[in-house]
Amino acid sequence: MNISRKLAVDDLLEGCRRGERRAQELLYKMLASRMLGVCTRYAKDRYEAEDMLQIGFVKVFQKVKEFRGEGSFEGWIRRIMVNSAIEVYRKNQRMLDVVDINEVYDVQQVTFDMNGLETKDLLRLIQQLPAGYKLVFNLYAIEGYSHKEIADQLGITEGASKSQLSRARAVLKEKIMKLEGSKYVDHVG
Amino acid sequence: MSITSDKEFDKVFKDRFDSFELDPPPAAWTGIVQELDRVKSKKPFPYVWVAAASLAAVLTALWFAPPNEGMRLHGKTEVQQVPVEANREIPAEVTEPETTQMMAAITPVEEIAAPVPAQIKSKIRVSIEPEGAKVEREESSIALVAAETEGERAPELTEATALPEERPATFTQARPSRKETLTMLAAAEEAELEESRARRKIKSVGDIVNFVVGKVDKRKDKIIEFANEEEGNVVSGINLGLLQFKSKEK
Repeated sequence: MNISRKLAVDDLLEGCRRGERRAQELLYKMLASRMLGVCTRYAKDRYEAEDMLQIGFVKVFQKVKEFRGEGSFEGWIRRIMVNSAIEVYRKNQRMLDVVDINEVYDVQQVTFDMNGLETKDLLRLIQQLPAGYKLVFNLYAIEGYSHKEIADQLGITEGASKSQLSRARAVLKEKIMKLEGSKYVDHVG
Repeated sequence: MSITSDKEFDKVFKDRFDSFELDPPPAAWTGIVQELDRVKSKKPFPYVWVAAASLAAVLTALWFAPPNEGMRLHGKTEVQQVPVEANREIPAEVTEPETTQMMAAITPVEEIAAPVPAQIKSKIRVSIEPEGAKVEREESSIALVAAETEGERAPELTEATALPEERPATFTQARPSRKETLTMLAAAEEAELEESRARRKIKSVGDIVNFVVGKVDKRKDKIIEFANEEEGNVVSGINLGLLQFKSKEK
């Protein structure tokens, strides 16, 4: 994020706290595309992503008075979007399809090149993951949450979080290799 | 770039999606605005106000509630026909003290047809009377006592069927010596009638007038008296000395 954008977002904070519709709209226009990019990784399709976006922004405007300025305003909004995605996931699937750590098998270590893959291809691969795998992979690999944070957030054990992540990687690698076709080579080891 | 470790693998995704953006449709903002307006207009249910209003209603009801009055039953005049054997004779062993006891046992509302003269041939009627009927019975008793004093017999007594109002006369005729007892009964009924009038519930302006007149005019037939009818208060009795009027329905 460049400095001018950060300043603009922070400038809108006070207007949003006062419930000014104009400030809310400007904040939305400034961040909606980026937040839809976040939501899309957690959703199974574009429609579900837009639902998450809508739920997230309504929460942002309702809870903006609670924002104490710890960290960036955009980072706070992003966490709210992620939480909205988790909420939608919980509604759709009451039970996480948790796989125990013992059931995770070692995937053969491979070396492959991902430069040839477009972002939209990678996004499709993520969206096609089982819901639990997708959630944990997004939270750990992209948002940067620790296993403990994920376990607390989802109400699962750290071991379950690790197993989900491991399975997610395995599935993604397998699909990437298929996409790359003959581009990948077996790694010795 | 060749990827071997999980960290590298994750980093590729992070770099790709950290600044990934997608343009939302214009309808998305409209939906957010509608949801914000809906939540804003949805006020919480006013439990405190409902509780306060309920309490006020209960207190008001208690404040205006009428004083607790005993329940009084007002039944219709109900006539039961009791067959009696024809030409039944009064047992000879019935003595005066026993008759006196029977008299005392008679309640104001229900009368027993046992001491019936032999002249009554087929039937007598036993009546359960409402309070209102007591006035007429009282008049009948007094009249019969007067008649008995003159040594005359009331004309109704010769009839084959004795009406409930005529029952005291039956006793008088059968036992001429019970004159004092009947006088006492009449006095007791008079007192009871006055008491019931005093207890009468005041529901209308007519009742108020009746109450005031009753306190001033101690005669049996008041100077003016109202009755509660379906169409409202109607004058049921006027007593101006020479000019008198009394409704039969009273």
